[in-house]
This record gives sequence, C-alpha cells and structure tokens, in this order.
Amino acid sequence: MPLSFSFWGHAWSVEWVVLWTDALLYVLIVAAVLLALYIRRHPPLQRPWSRVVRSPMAMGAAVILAAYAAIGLLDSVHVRLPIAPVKGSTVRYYSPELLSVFDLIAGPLRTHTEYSYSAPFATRLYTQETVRLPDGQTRREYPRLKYGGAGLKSAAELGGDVCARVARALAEAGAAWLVAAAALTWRLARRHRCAVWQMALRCLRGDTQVPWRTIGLTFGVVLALGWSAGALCTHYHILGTDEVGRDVFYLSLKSVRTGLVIGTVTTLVMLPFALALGISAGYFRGWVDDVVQYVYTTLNSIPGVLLIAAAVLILQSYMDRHAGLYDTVAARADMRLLFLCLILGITSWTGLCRLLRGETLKLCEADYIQAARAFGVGHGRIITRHILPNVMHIVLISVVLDFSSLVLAEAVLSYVGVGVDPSTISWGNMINSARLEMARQPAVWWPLASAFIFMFALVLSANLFADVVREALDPRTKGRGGER
Amino acid sequence: MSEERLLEVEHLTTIVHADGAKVHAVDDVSFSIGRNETFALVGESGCGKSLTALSLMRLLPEAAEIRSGSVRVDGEEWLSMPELRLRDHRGGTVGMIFQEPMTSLNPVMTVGRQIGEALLRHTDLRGKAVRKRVLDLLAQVGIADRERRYGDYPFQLSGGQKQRVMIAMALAARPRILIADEPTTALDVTIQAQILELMRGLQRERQMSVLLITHDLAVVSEMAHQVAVMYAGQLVERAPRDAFFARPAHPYSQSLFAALPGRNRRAGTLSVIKGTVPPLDGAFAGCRFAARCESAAPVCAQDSPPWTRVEEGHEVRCHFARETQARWENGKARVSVAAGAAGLPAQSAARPQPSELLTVSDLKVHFPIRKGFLKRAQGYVKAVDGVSFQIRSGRTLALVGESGCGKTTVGKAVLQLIRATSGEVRFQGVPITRLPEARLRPLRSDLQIIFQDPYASLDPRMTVGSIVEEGIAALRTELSRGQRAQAMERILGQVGLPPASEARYPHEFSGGQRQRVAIARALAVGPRLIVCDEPTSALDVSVQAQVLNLLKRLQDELGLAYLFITHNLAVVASLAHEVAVMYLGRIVEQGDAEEVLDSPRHPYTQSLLGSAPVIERVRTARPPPTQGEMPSAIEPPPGCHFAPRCAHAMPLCRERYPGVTRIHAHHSVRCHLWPAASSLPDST
Repeated sequence: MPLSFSFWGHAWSVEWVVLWTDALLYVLIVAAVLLALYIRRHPPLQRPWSRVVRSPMAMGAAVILAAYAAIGLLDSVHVRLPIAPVKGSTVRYYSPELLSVFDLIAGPLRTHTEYSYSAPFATRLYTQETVRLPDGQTRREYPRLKYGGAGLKSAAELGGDVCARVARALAEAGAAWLVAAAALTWRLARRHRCAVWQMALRCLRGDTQVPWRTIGLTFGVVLALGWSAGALCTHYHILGTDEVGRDVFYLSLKSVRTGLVIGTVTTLVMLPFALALGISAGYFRGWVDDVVQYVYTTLNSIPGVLLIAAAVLILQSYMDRHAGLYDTVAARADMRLLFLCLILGITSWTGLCRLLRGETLKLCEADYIQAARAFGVGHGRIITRHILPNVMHIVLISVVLDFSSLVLAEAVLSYVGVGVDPSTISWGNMINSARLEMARQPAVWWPLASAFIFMFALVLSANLFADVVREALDPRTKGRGGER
Repeated sequence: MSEERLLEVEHLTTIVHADGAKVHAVDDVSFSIGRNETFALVGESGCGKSLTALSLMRLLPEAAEIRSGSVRVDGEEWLSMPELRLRDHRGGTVGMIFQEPMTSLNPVMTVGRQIGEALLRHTDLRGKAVRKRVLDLLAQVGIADRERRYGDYPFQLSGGQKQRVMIAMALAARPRILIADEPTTALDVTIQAQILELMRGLQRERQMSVLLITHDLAVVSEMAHQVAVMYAGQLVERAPRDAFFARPAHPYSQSLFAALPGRNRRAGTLSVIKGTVPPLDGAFAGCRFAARCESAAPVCAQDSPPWTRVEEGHEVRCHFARETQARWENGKARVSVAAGAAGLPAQSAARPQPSELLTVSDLKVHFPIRKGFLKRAQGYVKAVDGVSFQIRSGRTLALVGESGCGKTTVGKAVLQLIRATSGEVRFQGVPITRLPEARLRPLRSDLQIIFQDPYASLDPRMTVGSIVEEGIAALRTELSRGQRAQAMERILGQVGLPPASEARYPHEFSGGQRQRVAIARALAVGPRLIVCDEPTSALDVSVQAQVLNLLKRLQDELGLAYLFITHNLAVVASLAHEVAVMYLGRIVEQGDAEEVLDSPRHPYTQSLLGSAPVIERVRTARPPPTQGEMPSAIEPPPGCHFAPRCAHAMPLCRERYPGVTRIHAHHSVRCHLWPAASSLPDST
C-alpha cells in the first residue's frame, strides 16, 4: 500500500508492506489490549493482576520487556522505499529491499558495514589483510575500519573520545529521565490529590502501592544504557562486526523481533487448538474426549525436533521449487518464520490442552454449571460464560511461562539448522555461526556473547514476570482473598 | 482445686495477620479441664474454636501468633517450652483427632505403619511389640478383622473406619488429654453415633480428659461434662453440662437453642439471630454480641461485660446474665404449654387436597462400571434402584438418607440433569424422562434446584445480577431488558437481599447470603417445584434457621413444592409434610412426616432416629447404635439391603427383598417385619 506523507520538511513516499508475521503481531496486540480492557471491567479478573502490578520484581521485569517490545514493534512495520525515478517517467518504482521503521531509525548502523570481523570498539580489522601501498608494494597489516572510529586521528584518542561521548549521553539521559519522572510525579500527585513534593517523597521512600521507585530505577538504567549505546554506535561498532562486516549490535537488536514473534505468534497458533480441543474434550466427554486424547497422546509420543525438522525441510524444498511465489527475500524468510511458529505451535499445544481438559472435567461437576444446565442454557453459552473465564488463569499462566522457553527453542532449532531462514537475523543464527568463530584462532567471541546477553536479559525478565503472574493467578497458591 | 486441673489455659490471645490487618481470632480465653472430664468448646464457624486448640499445641499456621497468655498442662508451662521438648508432648501427652478423616491419613502408608509411627516416636516399643500394640489399639477402637486391616491402605477403609484409625493413632501413646476437633461432623448420623459411643467408652476406660470442639449442641449434650460457648474469639459462657442445658444464661447461647430446628417447632418459624458475626480485626468497645442481641441495652455497646457468676461453676460474660437466665426459664414454660395446646399443625388435614405435581414411578439410575480395553460395562452401580413417590403442589417431600444412598441422584434425575436408566418421571401428567433437551426447555422454568454448598454453586467470576439473570435470559426470552431488571429487583427483595447486591460478586457475601442468591436464582424463572439438595448443611445453625424460614415463607407465598434432600432429621421435622427414607438406592419407608417420625416402622428409620444426637436436660441411657456401615451399591447384599445391619433380621430377610406394606393410606414400609397380610399391627 503506497503511503505519502511529509515529515520534517521532506516529502516521503513509501510503500507499506504487511508481512504475515506483522499482521499476526498486530492481531496479538489488539487482542492483548481488548483482553486488558475486559479484565479492567471485571473486578474478580482484575484482582490477581493488581497483585502483579504491585510486585516490584514483576514491574522491573515489565520495564525491560517493554523496551524489548518497543524494538520488536518498530521492527515490525515494514516499508519499501522508492527508487529514484527515471527522468521523465511518472511511474514510481519501489526498492525490492524491505526495510522496517527500526531500520530507518538505525540507518547508519545498517549501512556501516566493514570488510570482515572487528572487535568491539576496534579501529582496525581483526584479521590481517594484504594492502597495496601507493608505491605499488604490498604489505600484510590490520587495515583501518571504514566507519569504526573513523573520526579518530590515532588509536590513542579512543579512550578519551568514548568517555566524552558516554558522559554526554549520560547527562542527556539523566535530563530526559528527570523530565519523565517529573511528569509522572505530577500526574500521580493530581490523582492522589497531594502536593507534588509529597508525592515525590513517597515515591522515593517506596511508599506507593505500585512500585514506582523500582519502575523509575529500571527505566533509568535502561535509558542510560540505551542512550549511551545510541551515542556510541554511530561512531563505533560497540559490539564489533561479524564475518561479513555487519554491526553485531544491529544484528542483536534485529534478533529481538524474531524472538518476540516466535514467543508470541506460536502461542496464538497454539491457543485455538488447546482451548477448543481441551475444553470440548472435558465438556462433552464420550467419544470426543477419546479422539482428543488419542490425538494428543500420539502427537506427544513423536519427538518434537523430528517433527519440526521434517516439516521445515518439506517447506524448504517447496519454496525452492516455487521461487516465484515471493517478491522479496524478506517475504520468503518471513514465510519460513511463520511456518516455524505454526509447527512449534502444533507440537506444543498438547500440554495446555491436557491441563484444560482436566480443569474442565472438574468444572463440569461444579454446582453452578449444573444450575446453568437446569436452566436449559445451551452448551455454547455454558462454555463461553462459565468455563472459559474460569480456566483463563491457566491459559495466561501457561502463555507467559511458554514464552521464554519458545525463545530458547528458536535458538536451539536454528543452531541445529532447522530453525528460521539463514537470511533472517536471529539469535539462533548468530549462535549457529559462532560454531566456527569460536573454533578459529584467535577466537571471535563477541557475536556469541552479544546474542547470549540479549537473549539472557529477555528470558530472565520474562521468567521473573511469569513467576509473579503464576503466583498471582494460580488458585492453589494462598491468598486469593475472598474465595473461600 | 487447682491440683486436679490437668489443663489450664489463662488469658490466651492469638492474632492472625491477614492482608495487613490483625485479626483477634482468640482473645483472652481462659478455661481449665479437670482429669477424666470432657470439656466442650461450642461455637459457630469462624469464632476461633479450632485456633484455640491449635494454640494449645503451638501448631499455628505461619500467619498466626500467640500474643500472650499461658497454657499449663500438669502445672508445666507450654507456651515457653522449647520446641524440641514440646514435640514429646504433642502426640504423647496430648492426642488430636481432626474433622476430615479422608485427608488426615497419609494415602500411601498402610494403616498399621501410620499408627506404628506414633508408637515409635513416643514409646520404647520396637519390632514385634509395635505390631502387637497396634493390633491391640485397632481392637480397642472397634475395627473388625484387624489382622487384615493392619496392612490395608486408607482408601480401602470406609469413612467411619478411617475415623476409628485416626482415634487409634491419637491414642497410641496413651495421651492424657485428647483434643477432638469436630470429630464427627463429616460422618453420617449412624456412624456418628458409633464414634461418639466409642469416644465415651475410651474416655471412661483410659481416664482421659477430652477437649471436644464442635458446633453441634446435640453432640455436646451427649458427650460433655463442662461446656464453654465461644463467640467472636471470646468465651461468653462457661457452665457444667446440666446447668448449661437447663438454664443457659447468655443471650447468644439462648438464641443458638432457639434457632435449632426440631419437632416442636413445626408450625411456626424458627427464631433467628439477626446479622452476622462481626469482623475481628478492630477493637471492640462493648459486648461483641450487642449488635445482634435482642435485649441489648445502651451499656452493652459501651462496656465490655465482665464475667458474672450466676451459680456454682456457671459464669457468663453478660451485663444482664441473671435477667437473661430468668427470662429463659419463664419463656421455656410458655413454649412447652403452647406446643401442647397446638398439637399437630393444622395445615396437614384442613387444606383441600392439592393437585399432584410430580410423580416418580419406579425410577432407576444405574451407572455402568467400564473396564478393559473396549470399555465394556462390567457391572452397574445401582445408585437409584426403583424409587417411586409423588409430590403435590405447595407441599414438601423430604428425602432422607445417609451419604451414598442415592438421594442426590434422585434429585438430579427428577430435573433430568442425569437421565434415568428406566422408570418414569411425570410432571403435571407429562412424562419427561425421555424428552429431548429442546422439548424439555419449556419445563425447565418449572423445575429448579438449590445446591448444598453456596460457595461452589455460584460462579465466582459473575456478578450476583448476572447469576440471577442467567435463568431469566435463557428461559423467559419474552421479557425485555427493562422487565428483566425489574423482575430481578423484585426477586432479590423477596429473598431478603439488599437491592445493591446486583453489581457485587459472590465472594463479598456470607454463606447465608450466598444461599439466598442461589434461592433467588432458582426463583427467578418462576418454578413450581424446587429440588433442595441439602441447602443448609454447609451453614451454621443460626443461618440455617434464616434459610429454612425463607424457604417456608416462599412456600406459603408462592405455593412452591419442595423435594427436600437431607440427612438432618431435625430439619425434616421442622419443614416436611411427607418423608421418604432411602437406603442404598431404594425407599424403605414413606409417609406423612408426623407418622414416620413419631412411629417409624422400618428398623433403619428407627436407627436413624435413634442415632441422631438429641439435647436432653438430663442425660438418659440410649439404645446401642446400629452397627456396621452402608454397603457398596455395586454389590448390594442379597435380600433386604439393611439385613446385615438389622437387629431384627430373620433368615427370610437375607433371601428376598421385602415388598411394600401399607400401614395405612399415608404410610408404607418395605420390611419383612410388617408382612402385607397382617397390616396394622399394634404400633410400638
């Protein structure tokens, strides 16, 4: 869909492309927002969530997750830029290269590619090259990088320059943080009807129901790190470059979207299976139950990796034979990503389905369901009004718990070679290439380390968040308050 | 005197931390138990009885802590004793029995080992001596075939046997004090009689002191020597048994008595205690019962009443203890005169014969037991095996029986929630047993149900408004949204709920109020017959009275018929017009309520009536309780199902199931003692 708008005085004209995974992500966001609104309007559903909101650990983790989500979302709006038109032609052509909004923002990061490996903050390549000198002779040396530290006269200035930039970035980040904190405090003070300074004091003492102190602290750390990285990454390769000279920091950030897609879209694929089959097995019993049980027992007894490998390889050969189906490389890679989500979803619904079947079996004996049946309420209404809201906590718990394991599964599958398309930037692919990088002498350690750090931060915060959610929603844990 | 006291509790105060608030669950409680004495702690749920017992043993949950007070056993202070030494006393000096025998035993350990464990911990017995001692204990608690039971797992035992095993465990180390926390609440009435008998015998034999915690005044009347009544974390009355039952002096104790349903309260409504127990997280200015007390004076709301001694050993925490006691004695005389004059309630004879509403004939519900690969039916659980009865409009039929006799299944089969295997249910002459669900729907508004547990019968995620509205929306589709709202408001008013309750959620209500919501839900669709499945058995006695009164009033106003399923004979007596007694899937006796309750013919009915504990001013000798427990419905005994437990069983009883004998027009029985030919023998 071509879009034209003007921005900062420039007339932009781009084509908006919606990839399959983009569309599913949008659907997920809309669904999440609707669910949040629904929960807000129903106090019994809202009660456990207010416990999540009051937990410092959950909210700290949520800030980090939000940062990841922001990157992932910016990376999920894709456009094709116009090619400069041929003189005299009115037809506008768009580049075959698919860029995301994130790519446009991080422009220099994407375009600053070196010749090959370079270490973090290096000014020279990591490998020796043969250079032809002006006088015709050749020499083996570590050539200067084209972009990394390009403005420096000598390597000795590196430390000072970096420190100066970081100091400036931190000062700017601090100012931005103060502005944000002041705005927030002012709003809180309005809501609680007290003076701004009193509110600020309460926040500092941690004397608020929502742990604003923790949120502010985490936000400050994220802001400081992000701002410094942003200030440095235009002049240095802060996490080095990979084999073909791409900036590893850029790769790590691009991988965020892949991880998020795998972690969330898979759930979207899995949920309908698990909900429909699990609830109908538990509710209708009889032959429906038998069929569902046979299906998931069979599916469970096939090794997941085997099934995924077979499915991905079949898709691969199909795509190779029908190369014309996709107009860009990105669309093709996206198809494979989506397919991986599908197959991961199909192999992972069984656990949740079994839980839901058991819970539904139990709920069906509950007196309020019997009462509804005594009113002649139809099956559909009983399921949607009584059973679904009462199993929702199980669904939410398993969704948040599954997220991190799916992100890790992507890494494992890509490492084995049956994961995402090799052209898709993902932590799994970065780790896969690290196989050779770690084996060479001297070892290239930074791509692996970067993938590890980024993935670790995401999975750790997702796990911490999931822990609190599980505790708040699980009826077996104490303190559900009021319900018996 | 003090050297005779075995357990002395003084000023015990325990608080529970809940959501930031401090709940004074046990507040300044003092009592003492003498040697060889049974001390009963009575009160409704949530008044702090169990927490008192746990405080004595220092077995409190993490959120609770003992603030002050002293607990002395044999003069030794327990609250400051090191944990290690106290452990010798727990199970050693003091044994404990819990309410729920099903969950108090470890399911993966044999009975013998579980009892043996207590012996290993507290005695020097080892090896074979342990086994011998365990077998002795099993014999003492009356377990038949003890050699086999020794190696059995808990799931192989029935509920009564499990409670016996629990008692054996508690007694293993020869404790000097036995704490029994609602020991028979989860048991059927005939089993309850057996267990109470056993506890009485053991107490005499072993010279133990017993702390009995219960909500059931009748059990207290049968067991206790001393009684203490607990209300809102405090003791309000302490008295010897006879004085307490003859002359209760606290308004709360008196209202507990007045709220009990029973034979002599058939005609009128039960008296109720208004309101509910106050929350215990604040400080109390005056008497804790003042807000609910009928005769509260201004002083009650200001000053906390001190202990007043009304007679030897009888102390009351009330400003007007003597006046209250005197009022009781006068009132009692008046009530007995009134009951004598009124005689049988008039309504049974005077009214014109109402039309027949529901006819159940030869109803059978058999559940197949499927086994093996192809899931073929290998046998049947004959939950309901040929039941017939009629209910006329505006009348109440009580279906009485112990748990597992199939009474709930009958209720669900009448509503077609479970489909009958054979037999017929006619509603207003229309057979409904084989109607498809769609044709049944119009009838759904005539037949409704109220469940036992008001906590489980309301969807926790729906507002009261939408719970009540659900039925209207499903069955009375002709109503507009506005009409629906009006109808709902009227119904909530009818059951005595504030109109603002619509927008609230079930967890915001107390048990009694929740049961009102359940009643409102059933009423909303305008039923003619309501199946009440033990609607009061999960409620406290004062709340039970409120709900029974409400049901009675609704019957008078709306002409409802009730199929009232219950195990509680006192409730039957106060509410039912007709009674049907069920045993193992069949009705063994049915007839007019007065007839059946006054002159029961079937030995099972007699034993039910005989086993139910009753409140007596002076204790009298009781006939021995019926032995054994209800057999399984998979393989019912040949002949009369009750024969193996029956004291009058004849050889004929073990061969043939007895036919129906009509004693007279409104009373029939199935028993060989009443052969059809010689009907109307002299009544016993």
